[in-house]
Amino acid sequence: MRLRLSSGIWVGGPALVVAVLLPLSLFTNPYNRGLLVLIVIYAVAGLSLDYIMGEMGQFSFGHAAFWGFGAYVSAKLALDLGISPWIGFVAAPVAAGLVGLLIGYIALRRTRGLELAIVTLGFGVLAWTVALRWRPVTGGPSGLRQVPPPSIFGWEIRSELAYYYFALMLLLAVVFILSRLRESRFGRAVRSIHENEDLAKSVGVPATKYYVIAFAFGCALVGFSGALYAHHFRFVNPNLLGLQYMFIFLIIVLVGGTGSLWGPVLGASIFVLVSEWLRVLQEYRFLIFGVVLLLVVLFMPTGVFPTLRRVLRRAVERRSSEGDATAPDVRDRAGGPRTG
Amino acid sequence: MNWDIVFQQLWNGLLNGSIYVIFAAGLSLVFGVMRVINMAHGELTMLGAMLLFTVTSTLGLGYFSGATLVVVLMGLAGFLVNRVTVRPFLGHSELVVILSTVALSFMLLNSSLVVWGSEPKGVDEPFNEIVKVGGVYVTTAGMLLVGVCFTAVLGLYLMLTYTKLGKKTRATGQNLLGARLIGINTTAVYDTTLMVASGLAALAGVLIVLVSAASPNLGQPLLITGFAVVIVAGMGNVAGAVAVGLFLGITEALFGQFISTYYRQGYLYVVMIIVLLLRPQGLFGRR
Repeated sequence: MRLRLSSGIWVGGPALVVAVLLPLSLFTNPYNRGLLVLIVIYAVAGLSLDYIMGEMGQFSFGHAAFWGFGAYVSAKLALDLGISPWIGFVAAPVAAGLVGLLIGYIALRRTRGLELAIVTLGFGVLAWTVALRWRPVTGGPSGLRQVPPPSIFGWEIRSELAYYYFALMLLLAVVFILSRLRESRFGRAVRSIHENEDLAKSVGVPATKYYVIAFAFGCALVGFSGALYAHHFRFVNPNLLGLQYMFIFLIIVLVGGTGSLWGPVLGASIFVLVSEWLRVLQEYRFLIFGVVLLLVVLFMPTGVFPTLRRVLRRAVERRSSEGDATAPDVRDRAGGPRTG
Repeated sequence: MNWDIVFQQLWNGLLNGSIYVIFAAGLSLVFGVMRVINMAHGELTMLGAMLLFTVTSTLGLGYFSGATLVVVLMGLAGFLVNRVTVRPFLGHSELVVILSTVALSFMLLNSSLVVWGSEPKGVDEPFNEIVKVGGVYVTTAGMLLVGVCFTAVLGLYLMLTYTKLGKKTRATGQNLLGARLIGINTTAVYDTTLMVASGLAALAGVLIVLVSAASPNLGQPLLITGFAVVIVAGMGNVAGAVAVGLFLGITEALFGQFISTYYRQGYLYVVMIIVLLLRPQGLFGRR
């Protein structure tokens, strides 16, 4: 416990300072600040997917559908009914969570693992098809434009800088909620199902019920991320529900590393910045991106963050064992990959 | 009701269904034997179609020799697919393999767009006469497509059921450790499985050009359709995938004709969801 607390402060504190200073120092023009906003929004989406993949050890390949759905809910409320984005930020996760509850109930009763991946992929593609075709509601392929930004005391959070700080605060709140949830009775029960479902059931954990709730929670969180996206980039279209974003979230979680709160945040930063740097390669950039992805997966199969952590730990252990032969074991229980 | 239209749509559905069958068979084979979701399967089919375009237009090969060459080449490339994007990642989690095949699909799709551009390319069919059977217009190229599809699927079935390699393959799919214990070279089985699957994917590609144009963008929609077929049939069940692929192809065409052309794409997914509600393991899945 002592170690967790101190590492949280020693790593999280400076990271937060850097995050706050970035738009004032390195990322000063609006375009680059927009990238920072995107990182934060993707980080929330990545955290939500990692809750399903890392904590539940399950796959949701329809995750982008909930993201796009959340974006649409909030955008529609604001555009058609003139409802404030603030209510949209609540309504989007609630709506996405309810749909997640329904789909989780259908899918998780009997499917797990790779079957679940395919099943959720099917739901995702169905949602995408409906969004593309249901023109009167979704605006068809071109989507909806002019989504209003949120405003506070009559002042619109419109600039990249303001939206970045706004989203960063919400990201912190999400990280805090997730860290509490993971250590709660419910969170530990979910992890116990992940580790051994039959054993968890035998000690009285209602496995399917908890999994459905946890799945719906992940969906709600990504719906929230979608609403954040809609009110910053100020448009929604059916592609938000599609495979492209699904792959992006998957890459973010797997490259960053599952089973930790740092992983998806790091993954989102790496994804946005690397694809930005590769932009100079123009048409070749996705080709190179594929190669980079393959290499990352090959050399860091557990993800960048867990690999970094392991390397650092080993360095610390070596140093402390030089001075003190009875150095305590500093591996924490969240370590290692949690998928599979 | 005009029965000519019904029969015409049955024929059209048979053409699509045959493609679904051969595509889903390969996807299902890889999943059934290796427990790997090959996200690059659609791009392998696309590559088959585009390579056929290149060998027929630049090397001057005819359709049949070109198609044979492409299928053999792609079958051999299946070895590389296994050694580069599947095998190095098998020790970790299932997700890592999915991600590596996603990376492969990224690379194949985008390099194809660079090489061929996104414009659809036509390939000359060997023959394309329209024959009127009763009141139905049938193309000879379409007949070739259906014939080749079912020959290939029958061949796959015979191979899996009766040959020693097929028995080894099924044993590996049922129990990897058990198969290793009794001395089956599972690495070789994995190699051949992906070679067969890759060859089947390319075969689907060279057959698609008989009824439509080759385009680098044909892979992703096909992959999604393939997943729908595989889910309805039950994951990893190759025979089920054949029956369901055919059924869905035909009913999809009828749905498009009589109910809604607009939501025709959605039809497959609605069937899929209904099946999932009633039988989450798929129609032919074991549980």
